[in-house]
Amino acid sequence: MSWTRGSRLTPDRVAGTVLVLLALFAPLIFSEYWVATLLTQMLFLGIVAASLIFLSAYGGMVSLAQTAIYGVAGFALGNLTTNGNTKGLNLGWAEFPGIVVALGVALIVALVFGALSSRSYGIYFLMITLVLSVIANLFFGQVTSVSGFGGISGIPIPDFLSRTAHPDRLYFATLAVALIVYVALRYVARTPFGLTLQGIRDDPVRMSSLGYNVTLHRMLAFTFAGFIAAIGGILFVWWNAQIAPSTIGLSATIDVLVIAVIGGLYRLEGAWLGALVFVVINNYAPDIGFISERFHTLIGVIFLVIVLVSPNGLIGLWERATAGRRRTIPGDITQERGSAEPTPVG
Amino acid sequence: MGGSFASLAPGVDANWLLNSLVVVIIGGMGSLGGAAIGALLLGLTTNFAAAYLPADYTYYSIIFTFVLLAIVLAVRPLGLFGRPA
Repeated sequence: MSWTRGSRLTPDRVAGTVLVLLALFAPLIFSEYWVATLLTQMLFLGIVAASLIFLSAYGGMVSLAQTAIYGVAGFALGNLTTNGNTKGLNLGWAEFPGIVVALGVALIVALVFGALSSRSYGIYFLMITLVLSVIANLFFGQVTSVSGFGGISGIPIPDFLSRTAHPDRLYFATLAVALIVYVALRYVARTPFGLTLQGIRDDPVRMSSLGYNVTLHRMLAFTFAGFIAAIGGILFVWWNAQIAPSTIGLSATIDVLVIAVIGGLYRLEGAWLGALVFVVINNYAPDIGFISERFHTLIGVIFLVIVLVSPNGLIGLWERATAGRRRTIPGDITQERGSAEPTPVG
Repeated sequence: MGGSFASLAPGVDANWLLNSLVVVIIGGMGSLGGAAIGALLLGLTTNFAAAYLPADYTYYSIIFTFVLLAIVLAVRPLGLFGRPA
């Protein structure tokens, strides 16, 4: 969808424009419940899933620690801005210093997590990020001075975003942040840093013999993705007004992975697509008579069907449907992953 | 063997699977000796942490299991006895 490569009307660009317009006018089209609950949730879950897809598509790192970092940002904001009547430190700060410090804390945690895990590859990377995520969950569950099992409630939202001021403002703020995140992730993927990262994804040994510091690049990519996830965490806390350790538990971690896989683990747009499917199913499936208590089974079945029909997720289906009209060869992974410029291989 | 010593309930499978995965990752994949050492380390850490932590902090022992794994992977990314494929 890059506008630097000529102004041809590709199916991707048309669909992207239609979807952005649809999102902008959503409050006029959909009911208030849909906008304030489902679509807002879709947008911030999409941000977290996009950070995972960024790591996986451009860095070859499937991380399970995104929810942990998202939780760290949420818990930090909760501890900083609440003011009595709840668990945690109740520091009672104003919102904006709270956001900055919460994002800073999450960034530091992401840096530490990245430093610990960037030397591992494949299943070891998956395991160490899973372990870090479990540690974060247990930490907030057990350390009662910052949270405890009940979590923090009544986290304030800035006045101009609150639902009492206007029901749609939080939605628009989330939409704006999601668009910025999307553009930023695409931009970073095209910088020399992003290109090096893709080189590392394809062949770490070669990149290292060319003189690139592989571990440092992986660590920084992880930190950057953690920062994006932390932004999603702040939005989540505002939307939900509370956060508990179960929010970042194992099942939440798996949910983010499921969202990313349903959408397509190799294109950023897939994050929001997967999040939409997930949120709608999660919300409506329990209402359908015989499914009610078995809705995890339903999500599992849908997941299986999507993975069997299209291993590249819903984005893969879309690409197959529009394959006849595109210039590039559908199987050409370098094009699809956004590295149109030749990677400097020396 | 575990059945004679631990109780059985729905959901126990996930615990055991997670524990055995932790053991294998600590020891390093493809190494039988590593699995034995990993199991020993995991069991000792969990139980000693539970026994020696001050009473108020007994619940933290579960964290130590995972801290052990994090430390092992941070120092040796392929596990204690893992070899690159």
